[in-house]
Amino acid sequence: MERHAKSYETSDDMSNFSVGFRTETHIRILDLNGELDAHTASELEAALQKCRQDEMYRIVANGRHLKYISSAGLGVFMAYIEEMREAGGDIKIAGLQASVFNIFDLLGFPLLFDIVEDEQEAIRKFDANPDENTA
Amino acid sequence: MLRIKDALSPGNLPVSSHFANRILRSGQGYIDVALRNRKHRLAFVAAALVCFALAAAYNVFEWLSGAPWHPAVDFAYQMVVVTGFALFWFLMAYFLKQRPVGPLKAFWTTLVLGALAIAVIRMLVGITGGAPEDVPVNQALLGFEYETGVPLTFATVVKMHAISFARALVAFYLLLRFQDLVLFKRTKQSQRTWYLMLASMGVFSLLAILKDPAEDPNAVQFAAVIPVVILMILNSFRVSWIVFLSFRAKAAGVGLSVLLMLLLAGALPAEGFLPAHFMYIRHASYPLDQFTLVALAFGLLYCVTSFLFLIFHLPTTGDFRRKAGEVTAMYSLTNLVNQAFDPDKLHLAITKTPVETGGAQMAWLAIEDERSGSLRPQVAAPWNTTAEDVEAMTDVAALYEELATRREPVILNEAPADHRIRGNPGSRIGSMLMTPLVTRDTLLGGLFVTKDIAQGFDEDDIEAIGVYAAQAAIALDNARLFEEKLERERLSRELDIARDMQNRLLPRDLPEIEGLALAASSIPAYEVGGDYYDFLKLDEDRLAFIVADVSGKGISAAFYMAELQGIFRATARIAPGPADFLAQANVAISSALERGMFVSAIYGVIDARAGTLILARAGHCPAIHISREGAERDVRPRGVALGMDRSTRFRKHLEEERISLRPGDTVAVYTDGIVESRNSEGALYGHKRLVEALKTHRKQDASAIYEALLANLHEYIGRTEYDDDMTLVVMQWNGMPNHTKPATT
Repeated sequence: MERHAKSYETSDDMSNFSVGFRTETHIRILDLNGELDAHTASELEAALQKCRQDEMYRIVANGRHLKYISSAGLGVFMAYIEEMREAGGDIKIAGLQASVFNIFDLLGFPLLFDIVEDEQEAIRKFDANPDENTA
Repeated sequence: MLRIKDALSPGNLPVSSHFANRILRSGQGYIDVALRNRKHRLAFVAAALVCFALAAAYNVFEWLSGAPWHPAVDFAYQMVVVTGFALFWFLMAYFLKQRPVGPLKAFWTTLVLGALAIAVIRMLVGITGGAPEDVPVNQALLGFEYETGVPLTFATVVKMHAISFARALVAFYLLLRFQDLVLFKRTKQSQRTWYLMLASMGVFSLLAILKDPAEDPNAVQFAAVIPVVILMILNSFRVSWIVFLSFRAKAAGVGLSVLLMLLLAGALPAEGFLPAHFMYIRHASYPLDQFTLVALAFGLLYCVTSFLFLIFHLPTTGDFRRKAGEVTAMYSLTNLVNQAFDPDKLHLAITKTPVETGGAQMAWLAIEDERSGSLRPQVAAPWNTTAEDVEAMTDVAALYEELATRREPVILNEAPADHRIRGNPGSRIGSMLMTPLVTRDTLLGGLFVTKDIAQGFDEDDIEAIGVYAAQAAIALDNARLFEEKLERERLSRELDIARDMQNRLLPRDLPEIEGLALAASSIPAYEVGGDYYDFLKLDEDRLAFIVADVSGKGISAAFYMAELQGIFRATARIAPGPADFLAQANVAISSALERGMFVSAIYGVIDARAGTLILARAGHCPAIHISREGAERDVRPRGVALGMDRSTRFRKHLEEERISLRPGDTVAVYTDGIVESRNSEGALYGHKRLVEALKTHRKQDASAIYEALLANLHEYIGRTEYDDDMTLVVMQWNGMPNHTKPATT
């Protein structure tokens, strides 16, 4: 499997949130780090915009290192999910910590988003169902 | 005489030098001021005419009597002549000051005046009057008695005064016109040197007073001429007016200075084309002869230096013009800094200048604009090209990346050889200079300028563009700061409105229902969130309540709160149950919500008579139910937040939970602002702590529990400013009043 390990961090000193980019064949993996709240939501937004610009609509948000998410952070996922699905892709959320999953769960995200155990499972699901739009 | 000379030379006693400065700086100034008055001017003219008349009369009487005057009268005559010409000098200075001319005009008017004067003097010298056969040849030529210097004919008297006047006119005009050139860049130093020269010339010429016209200068005069010469040399090097001339003007200046040089060189020496004319002047006034002589000598010297400097500066005219253009451009940009706060306008102004001043063929900016949310630099304000062409011709991102890492001007001398410049047939990029726009250690963008030839930018260009870019960066930074300030002000106004709106939307008084104790409030954060809670009495015993949290902040959140209130007040009475209410609310609010926004809500109905609570939850934090005995439970029926799913799936996934209350049971509903409050170490308050606090205080009444919970929270976070709104509703059921009453009585 060819690996494009072009990864660069977008973060500033003020926040303790960052997004790392990885590309796994035609799947874009976003490594979410730290706390995603109203102040840092714009970074996730910029990352998703970049995916759109690069025409990468299959996205795995890896939340292994995501410590916290506020409603503003959840709103970013909400804002892009439809568009990605319309373009034939999806945003799958993987590897969430229990406390963060609880926040997703409280709002009912599992109903709308494909939330999976880990990154590999998300990739498998994308590969198994190349034309699948929703979970 | 010597004392005055001492006083006037620099580096003497403080008192005398102070005196000298007074004279040098203000002597002329006082006279200037005096001459501004018309009456004073007329008085000056009259006084000068009287002086000339007296002088002429003196000579006429001398001629008539044939004998020289007494030395005392002669001295008085000399003083009158000097005074007359001094008055003439000041009058002329005043009139010329009113009519300033440029350097070239100063040259050619002096030239014309000089030529005319030479013609007149030549004509006058040629006239021989009276009876030439009666007198010796050399005296006949001049017309003065050899021994006494008495004029022999009336024509001699006329000649001596006319020639003196003609030469004085040319000398004074020359000095006064050249004064403007020497003092072109007026500094204290240059002004001082100039006036010292005039003063030393005056002193030198006054030394000749009472001297016999036939006598040549003595040793004292030679000594006195030394400072004059030194000062003349110093002044003759003040030719800074030259650099501001155009090429044509400089060429014309070369010609004019040569002509004037030849004219003066031809007229001044005794062997020149005005032989012996100075003898007439010496007879009229030896000091005047000496003064005009040094004045014209200065003119000659100044013509020589002007000529040389003009010749040397001719080839660099183009460079100087360009530099001047750059300076002007910089100045206009600096002006713009204070006016243009519109980024687009400013971008255009920045790229326009290098092209318009001829520094480049094309120019554009690459700006990393945070507002667009894109990480790629954008081409802005292309001048003489288009953004599409720039994208086609260059790899904008790669070039910008190099600029961002190096943070100094980068020059591509052979642009077509660079892999980032695409060899497009229409490409006109031969060389390219990219300069970072940096202020306060922040890279704001890059200025790209190109030329169609290779090696098109020299060190000077790089430096000029660098200085220009620094200015441009400041301008950009200012515009951004201004925009940010506007944005902040707008936000703060918006916040005020939102806060006001939120306050009005929240209930002022809590409804009263027998058997049910309520305590509730919402604490707004600095940035207004979108917390909303409300109660509605459905009938005598039933109370509907809602607690909701709109994602997002500011005026839009307040707007959705208002919407929610409308939905709650209108729908609560007619909805059969909590799930139906939330389903209808979802439909109603979904159409209004913008993308990425949602509302979490919890809605319930308490029946105080039956002691039941039916509750539905749309993505909201669970309610906490605590019994009097201390058994705690999260009430968390399934449900997705409002606005997230607009299909019927929302209703399908929505559950209701029905709870039978027992007397003393407490139900607390809150928003995430409470559990997500952080202490100074950044740790969350959390659901668990809230439950523990509730358990601890469960036996108190509702408002006491409410107070205790808030106190516990404050103690934990240790400050009174919050990141998010916090809403807490505490409801306590104290049993069924109609059933318990008979039992107690």
